[in-house]
Amino acid sequence: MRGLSPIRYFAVVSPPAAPLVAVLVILAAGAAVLEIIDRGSSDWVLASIGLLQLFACSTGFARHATRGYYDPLLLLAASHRRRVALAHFAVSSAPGIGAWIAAGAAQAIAARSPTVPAFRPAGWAGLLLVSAIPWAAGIRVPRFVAGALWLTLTASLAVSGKLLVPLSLLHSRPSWAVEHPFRSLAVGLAFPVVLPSLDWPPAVLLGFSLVGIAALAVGIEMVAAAEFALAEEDG
Amino acid sequence: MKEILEAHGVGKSYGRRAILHDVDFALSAGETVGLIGPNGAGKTTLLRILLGLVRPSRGRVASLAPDGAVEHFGGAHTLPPHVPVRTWVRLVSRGEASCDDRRPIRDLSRGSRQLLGLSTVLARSHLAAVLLDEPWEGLDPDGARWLSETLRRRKEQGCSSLVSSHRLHDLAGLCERYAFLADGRIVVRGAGEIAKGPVSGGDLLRAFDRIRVSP
Repeated sequence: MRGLSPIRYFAVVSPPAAPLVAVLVILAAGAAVLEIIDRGSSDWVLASIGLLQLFACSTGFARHATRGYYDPLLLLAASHRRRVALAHFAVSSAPGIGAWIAAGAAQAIAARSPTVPAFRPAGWAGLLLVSAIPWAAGIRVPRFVAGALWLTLTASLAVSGKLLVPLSLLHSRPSWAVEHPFRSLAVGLAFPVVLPSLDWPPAVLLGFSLVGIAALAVGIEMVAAAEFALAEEDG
Repeated sequence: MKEILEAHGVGKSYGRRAILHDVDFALSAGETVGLIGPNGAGKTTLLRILLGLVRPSRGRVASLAPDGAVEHFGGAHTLPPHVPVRTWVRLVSRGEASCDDRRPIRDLSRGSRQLLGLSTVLARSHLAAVLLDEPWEGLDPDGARWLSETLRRRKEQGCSSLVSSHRLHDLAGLCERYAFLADGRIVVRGAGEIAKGPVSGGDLLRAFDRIRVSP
């Protein structure tokens, strides 16, 4: 791997999907315009960026690795595999993180305060969850599948009513999260795009962060331990 | 002679399907070894195990080459089709080669893609070993001659090569040793054991037939 930058390699070989990047740019620009017109009116933009990030990070490492596209990076680099995995995550999540920061910056400038939803701990925790979980869950599955599965689960829970009742309780009575930390954690994990817009007790926020970090660690270990036989290998 | 890559008692199975059994193999510094076997014999699997891309089910593999000093080309299908040729050459050769072709790799003919992959890998200086899987596949006579001459030149520079190929007439005369893989087992013969003079494609075929009859 000497002289071969994993970040540059993935940016060239597995760049983020262009349509997704275009929509994220439009959303970030839209947040700035909305904040100019009406301060505080762009909160929904963060939720939209979070939703797109679910798909942007579902890149499917094995999809290209089993075609041999990553061979130059993975050659005998067992000790570097974790760095390679982290670089893949960084490239996959970069557009969403960039859009998030741009939208947050627009809100912060309009509010003349850095404590806007995007930059509060709940915002960062939400961004970590929508980035790390689909990336780790998507390592062995085709592109976008992990994000689609998560969204399907969320929609199923919403339709069944199991999500909407606790969500309305979290909105109307912030103390509910203190009284029911595990249920709050489950609600946040099922629908992480609402994280920035709600108040969460520190223990629950820590739980979200730990889940996000654990997902990232699991994903990195999966790449480090994986083997990459060619998909069309004939022996 | 110093060994660059070693496999000891390597076995590989996918589920109940055994691909390799108890393979012992070593690639020494500066030598060229031909890997010969029928389709499905496990040649690609063995190469990828030696490279650390596939884990053996049994046994162990060791690389004594400095990190980044072993290169591999697995065929034109392992090149990312959407990447521009110019970008790929610069990226993989670590800036040691350049090219002005801005077309995506998919727009090249199969032979040109094969040549691109080979030339990018073989352009690198300070290589300890190169492992090539069916490198003559799709090459025209000029390309095939270039590859054979390049491998000879890299050998003179001390680079080891392990070359898997069905094209026995191209392999013949290029290697000091030949590793025959059949039914997941490996038998290695020196060129002197196969023929008294220069080894021909026919000599390799006869040697392989003898090994298959009495392994």
